[in-house]
Amino acid sequence: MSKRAGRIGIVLAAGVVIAMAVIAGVFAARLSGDPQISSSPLIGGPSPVVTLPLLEGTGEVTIPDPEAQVTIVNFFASWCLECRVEHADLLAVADAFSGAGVRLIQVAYQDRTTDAIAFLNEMGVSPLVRYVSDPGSRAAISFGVFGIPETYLIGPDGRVTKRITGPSDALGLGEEIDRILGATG
Amino acid sequence: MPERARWQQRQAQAARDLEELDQQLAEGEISVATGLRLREVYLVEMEEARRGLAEQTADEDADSDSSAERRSSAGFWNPGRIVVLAILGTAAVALVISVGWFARTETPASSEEEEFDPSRYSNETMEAVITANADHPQINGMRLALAARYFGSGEFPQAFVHYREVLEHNPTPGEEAEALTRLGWMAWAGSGETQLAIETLDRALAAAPGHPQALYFKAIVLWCGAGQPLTAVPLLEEVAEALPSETAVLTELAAARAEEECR
Repeated sequence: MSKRAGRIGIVLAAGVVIAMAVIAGVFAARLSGDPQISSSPLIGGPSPVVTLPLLEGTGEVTIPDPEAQVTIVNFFASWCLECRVEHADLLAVADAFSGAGVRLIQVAYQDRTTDAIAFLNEMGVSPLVRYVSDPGSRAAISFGVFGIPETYLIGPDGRVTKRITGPSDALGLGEEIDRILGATG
Repeated sequence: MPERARWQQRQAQAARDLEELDQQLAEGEISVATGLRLREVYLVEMEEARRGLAEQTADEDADSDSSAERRSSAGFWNPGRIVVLAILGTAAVALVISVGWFARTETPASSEEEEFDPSRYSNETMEAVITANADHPQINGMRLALAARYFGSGEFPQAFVHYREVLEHNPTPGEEAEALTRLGWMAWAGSGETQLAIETLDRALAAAPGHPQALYFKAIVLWCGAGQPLTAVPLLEEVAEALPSETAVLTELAAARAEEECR
């Protein structure tokens, strides 16, 4: 190898090393903090407003619920394993906070209606919860859903306060709802 | 001429001189004495040449090793290896960070259990957590915390539900005593069931003998519910001994001893 070729090789190698260091740094930065709480351009901003058909029967539901103090929007699917993990927690929160004006809306994401209904019947349903489908994934696109389960909390002013990627739990949801209700009222 | 060649040439010349010397001696061209002196000279010359050649060889070997080492080092740190090492290093860093991250995601559950502070959460949040984790072996602690909150605010029906659930979910003796103590008190204070209250408080004391609150509640139920102030006295004495800083107990003890009306 000539000296010139050697120098070029060293420079290229140094470039690769720096690039790898940058990648490692970005990787580390992305993984810091609570992995379930994700940033989103929506947080702090107004929630997308979408009207979706009920999963069963006729009728529509508007997100966010205009009469709710807090709207919880949960994207789920029958084929999503982690949706099974969080289901009981979501129902428990919807039930516990129903008197405080908290409304849970569960949106079936890229799922057959029959499969979504079967999933809910298996995992449990509540008359306090609204179950809707999402034709054309309009809501998912509006919220920028990346993967499911994914859950958004919307305050009484219509602003998104939190996005949870992965399974949510009752303690985390309750804590955020406490914060919203305490902050607003 | 290179050094090595010079030493080789001198060695070869000395060897040739020695051969010729033998021949000259054999042919009688030189005397034996001269031959011996010359032989000594040629042998010295040959020895010097041998040593010089050996030193030269050693120097050359040392140079060769050093050079080889330099070549080896340069070969190891070639650009290709640097790139490979960089990729491996990045992968290692990513792996370490990932392991730390996933370990951290596992950690909060236990740390939250250990450091759980009920005062940070609303009744609704605690209700939701309890409902979602009803079968968790350690949920009794949160049930008792929430029940105590209801009990303290006089919301007996809500407290009753959780105390009953604690009793049905393998309570420790301490948990059992706490639940029975509060249930016993609520039976009397909430429903006026004096006998049921005493029986329940006795069960609490059976679970945790000397439980100060169970003793105190039983004393009050006996005094105020059953009209037996003197029966309450030894119980209040036990409480006063266990909780010497509770001056109100001493006041009530004096009143019970005097068979005053309960207040």
